[in-house]
Amino acid sequence: MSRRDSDRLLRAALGELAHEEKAAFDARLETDVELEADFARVRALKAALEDTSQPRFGEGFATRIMARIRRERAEHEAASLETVLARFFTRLAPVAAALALALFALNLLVLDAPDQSRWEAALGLEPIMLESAYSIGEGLYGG
Amino acid sequence: MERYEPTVAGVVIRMLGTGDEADDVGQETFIRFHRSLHRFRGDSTLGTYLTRIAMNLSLNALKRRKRMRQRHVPLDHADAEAIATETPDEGDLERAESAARIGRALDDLSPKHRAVVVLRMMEDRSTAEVSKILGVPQGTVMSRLKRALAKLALLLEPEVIP
Repeated sequence: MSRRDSDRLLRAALGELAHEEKAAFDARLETDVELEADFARVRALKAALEDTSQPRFGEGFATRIMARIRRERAEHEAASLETVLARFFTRLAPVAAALALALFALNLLVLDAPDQSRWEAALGLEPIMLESAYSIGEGLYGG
Repeated sequence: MERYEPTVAGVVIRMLGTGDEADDVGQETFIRFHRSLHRFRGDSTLGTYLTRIAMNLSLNALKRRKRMRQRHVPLDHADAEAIATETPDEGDLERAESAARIGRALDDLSPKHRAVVVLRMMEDRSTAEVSKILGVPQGTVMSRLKRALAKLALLLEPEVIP
């Protein structure tokens, strides 16, 4: 069978031939036994394929989808909150660092114990002197 | 969802067979659709849009199956029949048997060929729609269909096709 014939045969079986083409094809079917047999075979195959029942998903398919959508939405919302917090703290970090540096500088400026280490002063720690040790001792063990 | 469940099930189960994989792909189809609903422009029907998603996901699943060298899972259309028919009579059993044979024959086709048979012959989509869903020219749809039917005829003769 020529390629053109096989194309036409398939289109005929699918009901895609235009009126004139169909009339010409039907006329050929009456005279061409081989074409008629091939056509019958394609039609039988088509009928067999169409005859299979409509498959369905298992019971509760819609419920499973809704549960999945709810779960994904909850995960998405949690991820969104995480993203918002991450963005907020990333923006806050330079401001916090600048404030900390300003505090360090202020602590160093108002330093009133020249013997205290610069680090302790910058961190705003009380100067540790002998007097302080005595006062702590008194507090702990009594006069 | 209820309205389009048979459409999606028809494509997915006929492409992948019954089972958890098909159920997952079916769920994924509706979820993708739900996510992309705002992008739906209405230049095709909802059914065609869903079918395209279902077919793409099914083809991906078949590729994954091949890649993973999973054990062959035969399409068991008899299962679908058993679900649909609680007390089958002789005619139903015959149909179920024939459907199972067709399922096994479809399983022997390449994914591309199976896709055109499922859409054009079993889901009764027009050639133009199949071309749109698969993103190939109509001529390609027809040539794939011709090759697929020739192979199916060999596989199904003489039991299903006299």
